[in-house]
Amino acid sequence: MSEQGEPRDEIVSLVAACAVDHDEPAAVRALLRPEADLLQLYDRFIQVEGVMRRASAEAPPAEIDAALLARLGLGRAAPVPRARPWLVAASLAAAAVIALGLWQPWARPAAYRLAGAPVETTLPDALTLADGEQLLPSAGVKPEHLPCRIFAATNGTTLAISCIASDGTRQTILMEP
Amino acid sequence: MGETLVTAVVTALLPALRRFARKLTGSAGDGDDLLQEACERMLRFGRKSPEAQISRAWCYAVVRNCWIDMHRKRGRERDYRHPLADGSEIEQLYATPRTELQSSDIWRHIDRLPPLHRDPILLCCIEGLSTEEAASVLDIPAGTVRSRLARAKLALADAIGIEVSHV
Repeated sequence: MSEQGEPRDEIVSLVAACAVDHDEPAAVRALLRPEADLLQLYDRFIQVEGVMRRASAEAPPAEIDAALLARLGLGRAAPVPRARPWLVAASLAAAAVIALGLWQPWARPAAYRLAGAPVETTLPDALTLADGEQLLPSAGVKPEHLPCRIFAATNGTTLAISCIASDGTRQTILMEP
Repeated sequence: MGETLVTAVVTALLPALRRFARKLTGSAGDGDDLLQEACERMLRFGRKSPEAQISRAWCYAVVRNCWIDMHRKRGRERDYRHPLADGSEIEQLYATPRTELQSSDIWRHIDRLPPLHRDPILLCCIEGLSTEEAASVLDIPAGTVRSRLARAKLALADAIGIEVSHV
């Protein structure tokens, strides 16, 4: 297998992470049910997601004590004149703002975050396949809380799921008859 | 101001960077040594380039690059490309039913992955970096991160014994 791997694995991996992020693995699973191979792959990724989230939850960021701070050269607080306590407060406030800025976008109930999706990454109103076949949004099935859209051919034989994945890219799984 | 900014960013990220360093090296002691080396490098950069803007990915990249450099200095570059864990203790894991897997077992499975696959797992799944950030840390295209991530997850599924059967 090349370094680029199997594109289908990547797509299903991203969609599975996205489904778990949105707490809707069952909804996506129901959509994939007609495709046994895809469903099996999806289920494996869903289980790995569970394992990874467990590993992540049980390995929280390590605590930092004063001794380590000193060892790292961060503990010896720069001597601040007592006459200027505002400087201490301002420094602390700046650090807090930076910390918030760094962490806020990644605040996550789960290990994965929905990466800042490029503004132009949206779900299309219609899908045109390589052979020119056009798929339209399926009115029947609509995942409520997922950034996904289901597309179907007018004759109902071809089905596709398009999702904004965890990393902000749009991924489409095609399920052909 | 520059040093203050770098110091503030590094300090804010310190708990996560310490976890990353410890997981990267496989031990608390080595991890803290690595973190110290990386902090020295980051703070030195802050003093040299006070106007530079630094990102979260940059901090992780410094830690990882320090780790690779530490191997090089010791003439053990080859080691970095090898899994942290291997050998008989891993073989025992195959006999452990998945339902009884402890967190430490999961981590031993992760440690068994070659760094090629383990690093994206640590960065994206544990540290919560986006694929673009991980790509920046690892200095590879985002598509390659996605590919390695998918393959690493499937390798973990195999190692842990995740099987799905549909009736």
